[in-house]
Amino acid sequence: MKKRISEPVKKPLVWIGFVILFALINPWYFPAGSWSPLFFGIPYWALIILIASLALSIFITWVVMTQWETDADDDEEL
Amino acid sequence: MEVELAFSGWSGILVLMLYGGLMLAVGVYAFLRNRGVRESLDEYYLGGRGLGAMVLFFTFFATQYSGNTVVGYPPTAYRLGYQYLVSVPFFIMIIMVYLLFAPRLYALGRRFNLLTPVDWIDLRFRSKKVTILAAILMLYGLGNYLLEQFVAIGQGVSGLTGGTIPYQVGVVFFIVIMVAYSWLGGMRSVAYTDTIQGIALLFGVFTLLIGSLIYLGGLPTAAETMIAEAPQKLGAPTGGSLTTWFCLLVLVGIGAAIYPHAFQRIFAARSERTLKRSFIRMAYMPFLTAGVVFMVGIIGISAFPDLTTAESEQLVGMMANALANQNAFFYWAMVLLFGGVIAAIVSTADSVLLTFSSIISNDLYGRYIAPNAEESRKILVGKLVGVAAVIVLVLIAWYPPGTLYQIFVLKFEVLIQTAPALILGLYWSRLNTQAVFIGMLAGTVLAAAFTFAGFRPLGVYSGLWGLLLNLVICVGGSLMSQMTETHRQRTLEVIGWQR
Repeated sequence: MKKRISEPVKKPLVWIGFVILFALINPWYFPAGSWSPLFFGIPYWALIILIASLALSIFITWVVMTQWETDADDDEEL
Repeated sequence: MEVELAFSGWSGILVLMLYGGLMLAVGVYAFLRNRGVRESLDEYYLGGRGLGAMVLFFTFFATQYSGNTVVGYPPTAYRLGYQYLVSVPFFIMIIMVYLLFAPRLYALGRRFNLLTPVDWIDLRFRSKKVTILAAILMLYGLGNYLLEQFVAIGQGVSGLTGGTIPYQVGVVFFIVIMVAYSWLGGMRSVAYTDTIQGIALLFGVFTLLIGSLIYLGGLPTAAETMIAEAPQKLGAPTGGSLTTWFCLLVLVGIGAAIYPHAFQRIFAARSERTLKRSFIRMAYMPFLTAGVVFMVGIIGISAFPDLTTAESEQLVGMMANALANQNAFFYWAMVLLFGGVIAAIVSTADSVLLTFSSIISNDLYGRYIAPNAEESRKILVGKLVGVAAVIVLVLIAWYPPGTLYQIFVLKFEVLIQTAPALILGLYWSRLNTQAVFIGMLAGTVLAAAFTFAGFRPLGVYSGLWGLLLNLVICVGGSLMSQMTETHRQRTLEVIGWQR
């Protein structure tokens, strides 16, 4: 029996997610040179970049777990 | 400027000897467990395609994070401040780029028994000139990468032992050990030692961070110093620094994912499941490695203010020194840290060397010179050419040529030019062989010319300009050319397998 084949690269949702998160990990949307307020000595924008980066990692986890399914290993057993 | 490390000398030598002995023991163990390792290319270069999630993860880890991450990133963070926070997301980008090609590549690797990245290019394009050009670009890029690691090993060893062990002796000692364990166990040795080296490195950077937080002040102190003296280090990037940020994300993301040794590791996974699990773990490592060393660099801003650029290069040494003077725990932790740094450089170098040899064995010797040779003979040729290359590179490292030095600097710029063939070739059946060849060549020439001339239009890196030209030629040339029916059929047999 052939399993469902799914590749992340063919999923529009994956691309949309990557494009949005890529835009968010570039700090273009902050006022130039601003740093206040600081949180534990970290400028607010750096914290937002870190949160966006973490969101990217979490999104990657979701993509790997749900959007990636090939029958590569079943092939091997034939 | 050389920093005398408080903890250098005999304890440093002791730790280096221990690391060396441990790595050799791993090689012997891998050899004894798998006697057939020298008889089969798959066994030697891919560990029998059987690496489990843990070992696979650490071997990916070792290819991405080198000793340079620990020694070189904090000084950059020190000089640029939060502008260098980009070092965290760019490591995540690598995994994102992997996801665009690894699923299909892994499946094709299984199906067609692919061994090297060049193997894939040959299967896809069936063109001698494309295969050979790609092989040459990869060998060239890998060679320069190896050269950089050798220089770093030498500096690390002489730094750690306070010059007790001269630069040259350090390099030879570790290269001999590295070649010995690689020869004994191939990919298995490399992957097992990567695991040990990765753990040592992680332990080291975390103790460095904890120590810095306790004895050298935290992030708020660093922020106060920056507000008073250099507010631009705290501020959100603008203009040119935004472009640099963007370029680093793209260049590192694509470049590091298609590094030949990183690409090849996909073939070594035991199963799709192990590959997936390794990628998921890798997606969070940037916070634990790049993020930690970034914080160390920021703490340095208040702990060691007003260093010149040259002085700041020694930042990690100075911080380790300060910590080692505190108590016995940090003394030994710092010795282990520097041992770990050297181990990390060695673990990057061994991966590069193994891939270098595999391209010689499989793609040049095995494909064009002696296709009918026994696999054991192909492996032997790969090993010997690898060692010859190492000897040449060590000589270059010791006697750097006064002129033309830049030809040894090109790495990313050249390697990234194989990306259209490697990645676009996976999905686009129309991709034309001739266009790929011309694009790859033109992209390389442009990237090299811009690098030599120091030319960086719009602040965008030379490698990306080369890649852009390369892509335009690949896509334009393919759209303009006609595809024959036989060509279409053959391509679909390779990449249209799941339909």
